[in-house]
Amino acid sequence: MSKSEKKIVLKSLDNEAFEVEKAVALQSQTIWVMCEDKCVGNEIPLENVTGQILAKVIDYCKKHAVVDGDGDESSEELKNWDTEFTKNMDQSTLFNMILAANYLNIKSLLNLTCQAVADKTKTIDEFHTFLNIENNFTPEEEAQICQENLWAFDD
Amino acid sequence: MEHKRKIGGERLRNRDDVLNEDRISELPDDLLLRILSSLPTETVIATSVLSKRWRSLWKMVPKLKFNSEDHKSDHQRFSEIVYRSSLSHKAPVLESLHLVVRDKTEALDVGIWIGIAFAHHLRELVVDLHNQEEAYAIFPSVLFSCDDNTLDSLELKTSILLEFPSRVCLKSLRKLHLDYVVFNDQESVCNLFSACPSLEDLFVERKSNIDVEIFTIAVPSVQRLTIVDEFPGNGDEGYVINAPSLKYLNIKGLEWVESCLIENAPELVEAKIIDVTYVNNENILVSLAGVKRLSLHSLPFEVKYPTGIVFYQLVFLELLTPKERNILSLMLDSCPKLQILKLINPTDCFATRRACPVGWEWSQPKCVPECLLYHLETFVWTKYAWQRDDEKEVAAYILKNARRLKKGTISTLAIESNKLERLEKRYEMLNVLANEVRGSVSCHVLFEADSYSYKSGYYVPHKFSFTLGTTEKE
Repeated sequence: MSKSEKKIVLKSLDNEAFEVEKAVALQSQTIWVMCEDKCVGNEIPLENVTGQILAKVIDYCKKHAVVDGDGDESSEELKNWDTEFTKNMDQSTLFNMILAANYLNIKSLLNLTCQAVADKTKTIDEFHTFLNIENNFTPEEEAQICQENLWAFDD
Repeated sequence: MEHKRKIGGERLRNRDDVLNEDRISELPDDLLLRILSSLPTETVIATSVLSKRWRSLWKMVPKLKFNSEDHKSDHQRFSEIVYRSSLSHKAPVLESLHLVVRDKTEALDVGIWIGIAFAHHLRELVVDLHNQEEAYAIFPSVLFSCDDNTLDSLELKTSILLEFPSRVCLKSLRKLHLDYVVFNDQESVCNLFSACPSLEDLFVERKSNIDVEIFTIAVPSVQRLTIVDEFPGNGDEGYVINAPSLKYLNIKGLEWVESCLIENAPELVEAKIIDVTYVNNENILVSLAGVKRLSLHSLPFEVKYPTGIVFYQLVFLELLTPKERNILSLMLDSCPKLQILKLINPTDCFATRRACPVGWEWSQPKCVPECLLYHLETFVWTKYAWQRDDEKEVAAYILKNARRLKKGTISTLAIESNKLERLEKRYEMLNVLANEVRGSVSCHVLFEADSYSYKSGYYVPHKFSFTLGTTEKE
C-alpha cells in the first residue's frame, strides 16, 4: 500500500464516529467490500456494532495493520498483545466481539475471540460459571445424558 | 458427581444480573462450533449436559482432539472414548484429527481411528506417539495405499517408525510435517515423497545419524522446505535436495554432516541458513547464488567459505554479525545489486564474548564495492554495540560509502523505562557517528530504541525513534 494515508470514518450503531486509516479498516472484509462496491463516501455506517465494541475492534486492527517492511520479528509480541487484549473481557463483551468480528468479517479476530471463550471454559463448571448457561434439562433428562456419556463427566 | 452440574443453573436463577446473563448460547450454531473447535473432544462432549441448546452440538464439531495425557475417566479407557466419539460423529467433513497417545498398547489402535476419520473425509491429521520408553510404533502405512484419501495436511511426531515398502498415495497432501520420525530405509523415504505430487510445504526435523545416512528430498512440487537437524552427525551423513519448484529454503543445524547438496533449485528466491556449522562442502552457498533474499545466521563456513561466487540477484542480505567480520566485506563484494543490508548482533553472551579468530578481522575492501556505490538504499543494524570501536568502524565505512543510501537505522539493546537517561548517551555517540560520515546526497539516519514500561498490570513496549541526521542536497 502506498504512503497516501487515506482516512475513512466508521460510524457505530450509536452514532459514534471513528476516523481511521484505510489500511487499518480494510482488515475487515465487510468494509473492504463496502469500499469496493459502491462509493459510500468516506463515512461507513456499521449498523450492528456499538461504539464501545467498535473502539476495541479498531484497537485490534491498528495493532494488526501490516507495517511496511518485515512483519515476522514482532510476531511474538503480537501474540502477547492478543492474549492481553482478551484476557479481562467479560462474557458479554466477548459475545459482542465475536458478533462484531463475524459481521465485519475479520477472520483473525473471530478466531482470537472464539479461542478466548474456549480458554475460559476448560471444564464444564467453567461453562456454567463464566458463561452462566442455564441448565434447562429435567433431572431425568440430565441423568440420561450423563449415563450416555458417563466418561466425559469425570473430573 | 451426579448433581453437581445442576448447581450452576440453580445459582443463576436466583441472580438477577443482566450483565451476567448467558449470551453465548444465543450465538448461531456455526459460531458456537467455532468456539468448541478449539477444545479437547472430551470437554466438547461434556457440553451436551449444559442445556438443550448444547445437547447435540458436539456431534457437529468438525475437529477432534484426543490426548491420552488429559484423560481422567475411571469409567472408560481412553481408546474406548476415541472409538465411541469418532463413531457417533456427524459432521459431513472432518477438518482435523489430533491424536496424542502416550501408551504403547493404545498406540496400536491409532490406525483404526485414522481409518474411521478418513471415512469422514479427513483433511488434517496430527499424530504424536511420544512415550517414556521411546518405543517406536510402526505407522499403519496401509492407510495411505488407497488413492481416495482427502488429506491436505499431515503432521507426524516422535516415536513413529515409517515403513513404506511399496508406493502409497497422498495426492491431495499439500503440507507435510515430520518431527523426529524414523524411516525404516531409503526406499521408505523415496516412496513417501513420491506419493505427494501436490506437496508444497515440507518440514523435516530429525537426527541425521539415526536412520538413513543420505536423506534425499526429491519432491518436484515443493515450494517451501525447512530442514532442522540440531544433533551433531558422525560425519558420514548428508542431505540431497532435488526440488525444482523450491522458492523458500530454511536450513537449521546440520552440524558435522558430510554434505548438503542442493541439486536443482532454479526457482529459489529466499534462503535462511541458520547455525549451519562444519558442513564438509561448499555447495550450500554456491547453490544459493541465484536467490534474491538471503539470511545467514551462522558463519560456519570457516574454512570453506567460497570466495568465487557472485550473488547477482541478491537484493536483501541479513547477517548475524559474525565475529569473523571480513566475511561482511567478502559479502559486500559478492553482492553487486544489494539494496537492503541488515546486520544483527547475537544476543547471547557467549557469542559476543567469543574473540575474533586471527586473520578474520574486519578489513576494508580494497575498492568500494559496487553495491555501496550504486544500489544500497537501506542499512539496518540491530542490537548495535555502540561502545565498541570495531563496530563503529564497520558502521562508519558503510554510512560513508553508500552513495544511494536513503535510510540508515541503528538500534541498540532495549532499555528499561526507568533508565531512559541512558538513551541520551547513546544518542550522542551515534550522532557523532552519523554526522561524520555521510556519503549519500539524500539520507535519513535514525536511531531507534525499544523500551518497556509497566502500566495497568502489564508491560507496554515503547519505540523511540530519533533522527540523527538528514542530508538533502544536490
